[in-house]
Amino acid sequence: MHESVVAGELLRTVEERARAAGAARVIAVGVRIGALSGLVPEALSFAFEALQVDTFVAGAVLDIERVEALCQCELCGLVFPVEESKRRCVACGIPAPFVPNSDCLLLTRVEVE
Amino acid sequence: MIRPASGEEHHSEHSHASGHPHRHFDETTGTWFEHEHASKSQPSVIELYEPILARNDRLAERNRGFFEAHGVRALNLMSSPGAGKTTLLEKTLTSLPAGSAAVLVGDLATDLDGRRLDGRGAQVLQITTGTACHLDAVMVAEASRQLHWEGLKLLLIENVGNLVCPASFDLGESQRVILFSVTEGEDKPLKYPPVFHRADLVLVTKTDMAAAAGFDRELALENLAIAAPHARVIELSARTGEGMDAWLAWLQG
Repeated sequence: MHESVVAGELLRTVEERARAAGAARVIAVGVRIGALSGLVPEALSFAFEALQVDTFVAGAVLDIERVEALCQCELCGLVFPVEESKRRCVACGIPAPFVPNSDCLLLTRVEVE
Repeated sequence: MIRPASGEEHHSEHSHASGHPHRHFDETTGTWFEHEHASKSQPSVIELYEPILARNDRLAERNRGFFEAHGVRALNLMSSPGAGKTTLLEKTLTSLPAGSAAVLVGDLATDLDGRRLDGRGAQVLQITTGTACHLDAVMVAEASRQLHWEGLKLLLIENVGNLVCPASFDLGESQRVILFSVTEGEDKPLKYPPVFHRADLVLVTKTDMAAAAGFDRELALENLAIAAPHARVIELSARTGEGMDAWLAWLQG
């Protein structure tokens, strides 16, 4: 996967925002990762820690909020978590699409001082 | 004796634990005065909620606007390696009006695919990514600068053979076309939710090999209905020509 590319973008954005806010250092970074995003949280953490060494963001902790993959039935509106290959609505039996948030890859907050 | 003239100068004169009040003696007035220093180490939180790949997304939107302004429909073709993207494009380019299409081909290495597509009436540009497992908006923007846009109607972007990573990178395309071949198994769509759930068209390729592969067509279509509920499905064989009419009609529609 390309967690290192994502970590690189993350570090770059965090440094930009932190400097713009006049911060001396970054304490923590919050991200939200959807189960469908294709990213492995552990790999992202690893890349984040490795790439921050000797940079402005060094020492910042990455806080990952995982969002599970959910489906919503287009007929009855039921929202349910996805298991394996079971994506049919339990009430209606028809295949249900994923809710939009399931593949999110968001930077939610930067804690600075 | 130096009198503090401003906050900054005052800070540089001495150091002390920040955030604590303390007393200074003012020689001019002969009085002690207390003050608090605004603490320099006060944690604060910047709330964002912005996509991590926002920079790619922004450039992708710029690409999108450019393609639309030129009346060009851009398609992002994705699949596992070996599903038949290049072979399909070989046959497709031959059937399209000369000069109406351009192709950007993404690979880690070699220009073999690009060269296979030459001489079929379309502009062909090879993008070699080196190590990147996917194309991104920057690569597409840079390659697009080398194209001639007069008379172009279609931009076919053959992504790097990979069903995982390309899903995360908007290129500025109008639509996403996912290919999967009968030799890859009918459960393929369920195994790669991210790329299938954003598909606009799914091409089931190499149908001429279905019997030899023991391909369960009904199950594959059922799985596609689950994994790509909003996608149109076209089954085809570039080799025999089966289904190619439907694909060309969709392309030119």
